[in-house]
Amino acid sequence: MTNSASPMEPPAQAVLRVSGLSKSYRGKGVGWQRMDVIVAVSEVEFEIFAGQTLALVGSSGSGKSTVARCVTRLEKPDAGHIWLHGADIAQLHSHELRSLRPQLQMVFQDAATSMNPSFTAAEVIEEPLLIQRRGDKSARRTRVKELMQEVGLPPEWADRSAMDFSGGQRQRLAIARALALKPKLLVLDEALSGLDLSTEAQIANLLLDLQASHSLAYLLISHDLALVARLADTIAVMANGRIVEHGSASQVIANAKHPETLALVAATRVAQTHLAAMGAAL
Amino acid sequence: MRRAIRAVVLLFGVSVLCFLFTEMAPGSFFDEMRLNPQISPETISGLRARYGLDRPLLVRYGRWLMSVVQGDLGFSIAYNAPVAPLLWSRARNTLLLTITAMILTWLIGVPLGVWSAAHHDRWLDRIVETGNSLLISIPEIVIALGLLALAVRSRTVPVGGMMSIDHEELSTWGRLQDVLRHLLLPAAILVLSGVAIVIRHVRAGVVEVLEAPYVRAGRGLGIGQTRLLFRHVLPVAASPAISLFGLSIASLLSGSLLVEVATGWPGLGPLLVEATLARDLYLVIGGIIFSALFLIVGNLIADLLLLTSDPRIRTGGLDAE
Amino acid sequence: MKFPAEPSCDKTVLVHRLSVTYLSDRAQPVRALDQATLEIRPGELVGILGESGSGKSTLAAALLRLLPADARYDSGSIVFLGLNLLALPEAELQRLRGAKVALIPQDPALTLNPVLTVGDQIVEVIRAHIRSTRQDRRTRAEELLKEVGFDQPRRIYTAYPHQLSGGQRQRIVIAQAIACRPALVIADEPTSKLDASLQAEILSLMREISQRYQTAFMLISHDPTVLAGFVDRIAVMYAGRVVEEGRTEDIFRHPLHPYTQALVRLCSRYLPESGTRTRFASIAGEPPSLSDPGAGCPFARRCPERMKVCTERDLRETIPQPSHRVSCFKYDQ
Repeated sequence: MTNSASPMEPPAQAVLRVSGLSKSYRGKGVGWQRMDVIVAVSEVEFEIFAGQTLALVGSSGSGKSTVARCVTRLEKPDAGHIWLHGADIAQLHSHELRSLRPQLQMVFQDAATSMNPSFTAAEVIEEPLLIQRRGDKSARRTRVKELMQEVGLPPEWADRSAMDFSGGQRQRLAIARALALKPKLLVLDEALSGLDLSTEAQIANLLLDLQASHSLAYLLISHDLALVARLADTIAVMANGRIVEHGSASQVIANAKHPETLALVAATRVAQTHLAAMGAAL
Repeated sequence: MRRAIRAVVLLFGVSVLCFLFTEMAPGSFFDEMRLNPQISPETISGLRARYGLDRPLLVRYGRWLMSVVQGDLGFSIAYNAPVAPLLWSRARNTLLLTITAMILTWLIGVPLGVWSAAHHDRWLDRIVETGNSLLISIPEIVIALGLLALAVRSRTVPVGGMMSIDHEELSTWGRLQDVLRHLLLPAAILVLSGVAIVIRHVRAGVVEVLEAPYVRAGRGLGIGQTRLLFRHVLPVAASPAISLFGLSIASLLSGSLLVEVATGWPGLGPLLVEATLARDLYLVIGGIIFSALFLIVGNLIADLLLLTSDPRIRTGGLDAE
Repeated sequence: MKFPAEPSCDKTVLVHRLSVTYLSDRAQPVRALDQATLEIRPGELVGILGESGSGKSTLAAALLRLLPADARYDSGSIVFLGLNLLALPEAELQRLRGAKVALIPQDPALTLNPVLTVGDQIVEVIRAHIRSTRQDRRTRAEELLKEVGFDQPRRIYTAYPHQLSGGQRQRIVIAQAIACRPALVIADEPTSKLDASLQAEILSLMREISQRYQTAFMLISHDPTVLAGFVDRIAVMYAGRVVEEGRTEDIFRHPLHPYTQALVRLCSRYLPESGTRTRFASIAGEPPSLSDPGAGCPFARRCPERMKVCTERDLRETIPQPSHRVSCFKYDQ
């Protein structure tokens, strides 16, 4: 019996597979001061399939944002493999990455800071199309309107300045922009943090709908376990740069063992206790 | 420490470039002499040999480096003397002028900048801004000529030179006064040319910080406007001004060339102009190295100042993720 | 260190039908507060439940008389500790701010001065209001650091904001706010920029402080669960109005206003779920434009129980249950 898959070969179905991912930073010292080495991420491993959501949870400093930045190659990992549909992007040069970037897009927290304030909605959304040189002006225009409709924004608003949109609407713009190149995977880095609860609910439902209609895979980064419990299929808990618990969402929450996971679960329990004590009409 | 080493390397680089450039420039010191039929070609070649100008480039550079180590910085052909003392006596005059001008510029510029920022968008600020724009757009030469004309007409301030003819006969106090009176005009030109930029930088830095959330929070906690300004705003707003300060120090030797030539102030500027025109090789190179030194030291000082003023640079914190 | 004695009043704050308009764009003035009424008794914990654009931050700023220059007080009054805030000169107001009423702002990373040590920043507040020696102030600052939960006050005193974590910075800002033992502390979304796990800690710290010094708190949040474990009463704000106000249990158990009902339903996000990828309960539509509110109830457009009268008449406040007031046509027939 031969094992046809060598350890380095990724299974064909996973949209994203990460293994052995590591990254450290040098602390900034001045002149003669010592420079500390900070290990941000160490030996991280997970995989995400089409139409599924993996949530990376942990508190600030756990390394989850660094993982997101490495996966989207905003930073280059020190070691490890990142297979995007079978192609290892971990150490590729930027010009080699170019053709692969459309498959993997990112949505950040606080859309306002990720957008050029002088752009109109249309300009924001079509930017990826321009960069990858897809289609002519009218084709782009059509696509922009299509995307705006998909994310729940009136297409007539295409020429409004991006700053005239509310926080939630800007987040929808960011999602539309991320969908422009028809990616297979979206990395959502605290994309729902800092929003009002009603806006968060609307955007979360939008993400669920988009995932169903486009079979999108999501890598969701968050510190909020309650949010993650409803959105994710699998959860990986990070602490000090490592994954400390990993499994299906319901299992990880129900059978929390690691102190970090327990702390996160405790936070949601507090909310539940208060609601129960109030006898909330839910 | 790293910066200091880099600085020395930079100086080396500058000196090499200097040598190369002057080599490429047409003409040599003796060209005029050659045209003079009374001087024989042998005399010229003898002189050339004496000054080592007939040796290849590398050898000349080597000998020049030796001379640097010995503290001479090469030999001036025109003055028939080592370069270093020549440079130094002129440089002293330049520094007197530029340091005085710099102190005055910052003494006027910083308070005005802070004041107009505190009253920003009100009439005071608008006046200062308009005045600034005017000053910035007028080239230094025009300011120089304008003030010169004014000085000549009004006969209040001596024009030209650093000392009066009877300088030697004056008492020490009298000599001091004499120099100061001569200093007025060139310093005034320098101050007028430079103060506008200082005001702009200080004002911009302060205005930006005035809008910052922590200043509003301070107001919310009842901290008075004056205290806010001096204890909370200025330390943060100082950074761009400090960078500018460093640059000002850097240009202490080189920035006043035009003014010195225009007013006849016996500084480094006129000396170098002469030397360049006369192709007095080592004097020119020495002068450039000197200015480069100041530039580098100025930048180092600026960096050090920034270090002490902004704790974020000092403690080099990496943001928690 | 002596703290000046207070005149005793039965109400710490009384905001009565306060309306505020922002005039930043002459053509489109924005009505940020519309006849808002609220009262807070000494030592009471009151919650303001509102989303972005509800007017909650404007209310907080108005209580400090720190509205931007282009804001206009259209009508109404604010009485704080028996003083008419709208009539006081700036010098008097400055004496109140930080000393009698203090704000814990939303994002401590931004509201702390980056080039001063956190200890010095606490001292600044003391210095502004209490005559004291430098040593006194330093001691008091270290006491405060201990009070807000730091084990090593001396070490923290000399730290700079960027050397501390988000939770630690929030504690520093709380220390600043309570430095002069104010009568009222306004906490504007104190936990929204922090990890969910820190929320409980910070809230319990504030509750301790309230109990120890009889300090009234006005806690502003868009998340009902944050208020659930902390405040005695909740005022719900929408489009600059207080649309409902009552005891916390009443708000959760029997919310009267459809908007309140929708907000409470949103809390189902915290409940454990059986399956994964479950949809969230949400509120349809967008908050109204404050420059063009239209007639009647501002929530009408999004209200599942909208009636014809909702967009025709002016809203009135009624009290259908004891200590539970609401501005809704359902209760105003």
